[in-house]
Amino acid sequence: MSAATADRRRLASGPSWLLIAPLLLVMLVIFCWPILQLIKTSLFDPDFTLKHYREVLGNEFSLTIFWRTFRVSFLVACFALVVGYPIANLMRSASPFWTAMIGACVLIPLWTSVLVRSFAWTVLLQRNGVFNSFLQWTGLTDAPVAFLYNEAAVIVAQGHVMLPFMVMPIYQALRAIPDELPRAALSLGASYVSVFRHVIWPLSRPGVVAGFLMTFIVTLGAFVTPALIGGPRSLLLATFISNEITEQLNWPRGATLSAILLVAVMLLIACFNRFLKIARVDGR
Amino acid sequence: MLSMGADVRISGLVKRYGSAVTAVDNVSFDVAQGEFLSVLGPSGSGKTSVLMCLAGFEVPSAGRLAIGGRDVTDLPPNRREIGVIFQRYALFPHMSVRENVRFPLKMRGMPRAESDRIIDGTLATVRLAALAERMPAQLSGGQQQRVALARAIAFRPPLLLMDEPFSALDKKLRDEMQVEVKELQRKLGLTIIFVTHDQEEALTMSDRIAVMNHGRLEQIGTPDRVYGDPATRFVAGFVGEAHALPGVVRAVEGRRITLALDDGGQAAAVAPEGSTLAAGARAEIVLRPEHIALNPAVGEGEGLAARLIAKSFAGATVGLTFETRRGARVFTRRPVQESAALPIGGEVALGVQPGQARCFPLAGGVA
Repeated sequence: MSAATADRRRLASGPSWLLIAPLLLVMLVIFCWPILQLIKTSLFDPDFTLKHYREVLGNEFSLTIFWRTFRVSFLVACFALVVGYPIANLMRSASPFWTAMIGACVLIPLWTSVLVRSFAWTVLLQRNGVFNSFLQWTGLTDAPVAFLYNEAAVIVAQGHVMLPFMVMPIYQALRAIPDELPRAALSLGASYVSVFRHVIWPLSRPGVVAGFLMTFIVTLGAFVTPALIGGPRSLLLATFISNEITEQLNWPRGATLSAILLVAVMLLIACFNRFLKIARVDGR
Repeated sequence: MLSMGADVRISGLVKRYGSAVTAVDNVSFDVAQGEFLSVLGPSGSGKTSVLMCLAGFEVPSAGRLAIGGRDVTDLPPNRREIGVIFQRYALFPHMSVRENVRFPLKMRGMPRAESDRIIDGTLATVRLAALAERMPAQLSGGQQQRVALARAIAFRPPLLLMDEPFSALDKKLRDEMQVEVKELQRKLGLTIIFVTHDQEEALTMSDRIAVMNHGRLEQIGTPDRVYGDPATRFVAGFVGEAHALPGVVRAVEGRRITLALDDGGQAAAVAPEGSTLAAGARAEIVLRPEHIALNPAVGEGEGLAARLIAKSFAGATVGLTFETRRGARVFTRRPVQESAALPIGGEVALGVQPGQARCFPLAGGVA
């Protein structure tokens, strides 16, 4: 960088602070402040105490929900990866027209609310829904199958909701791989499977990690889809917290659960960041 | 480390994209064992398409390709046993130099200890032994291209395809790499097909040059043949420095042609083989710098009057650009002392050394 552009950058930083000040203010007032309040609620009653944490972490029911939430989120991310990777790969290899069409099909659902998409899944999966009618019409089953209100339904529906967040980073990573690399690998004698295993997959891994992380973390706090599609036996953390606060009116308990989730997510992100940074120094 | 090159036979190769674009239009030529053949042409001439068909990345619309007597037209690229060098190196960014070179050996199921021995030998050949553990991003462009070279020869293919391999390097490095590749080829006895748009590179490196334009093969021959006896007007203009002057054919005697130049003066030129130029036809003489004779005084008759408009110093010689009265340009080179006597803006009479320059029919027909 030349000295002149460096100067211009330094001069510009003053006005740019001014420009983001409104956003910063809004974030501080309606985001950071409530979160700090929440954490305070979990730690003071009215004096400093860890009893809420002891209660939550010593309670088998809440531990079950924590474990289930992490497991379901992990499976949602796996599901989205398995479905999303081939889509992203197709977008990379298709003609520009089809890339745009597939991209639109992946992204347009983002414009509809999560609520609508989840209801659509209930329409598909309910007792007299599309799937069951079809199965009975074909004669494969003679009674409705209970698709809804279980973990599998939550994983599929939430996985679908999260699909764009998986497809897009993977597609970006795949698109950044120059055509010469798979070609070079082929010319060197690699089979198509080897080209994928040794060239495409390792080079798309940053996109996979980003998509997986995003899907996993957003699902940890997902509320709408699990609440609509999941049954009482697949209760997840966000729904549990909402119940504690709005029905049990147990604010300290809700706050404690939220704080634990927040810390867990931040730890996860820190771990992944570290892992990604190491991968970058090593690999690229 | 010795391997024998393979001969290559391209017959009737056609490559169409959709129905509108014919990138390669019925191209046939052979490459001998251990030959260095350049495919030279401007961008869009189809030279890269020929290479991509040979490598197997593109499927020919028609025609057959054979390497070492084996028809490879329907073989996938990973079964053709060809080393390919790409313009942008195409090293695997997530593997070290050593692992890049190991890749073709690993794909052939070679045990680690054995492949390590070959990698060390190959890296020594391209003078990169010290950088084996580096990542590609830590290497300069020239070093990266050497790694690509090592990777492509590690499995001892009989044929190496190079797609404008040095165009991303600066001139000094390019010259160095040209020498190295030639040396390597001699050592290994490799057949090399080298695609380039740089006529100088093609002239200095090749045993033979295939000149392509608009998907067609214009001429194939040794560098001195392509330079000295171009078969078409395109080849004459594309290979080597050339300036053209229009005129009318006065006399035809076999391939020898006398031309009355529009700019004044006469020139004795040579028509390409099979030429149908007849007296009275419009034609164009293509002048190389060494075809021009300088008479330092304005004269009538043979010479053509021109004004010196620019001098460019080039070490031992000075490039001189002249403009004729009609505004056409002619370029030549003269020793420094001789050109010192010529002032810019000064008039001179230019002559054409008889029987060297080529002439071609000029679009526009009979005068």
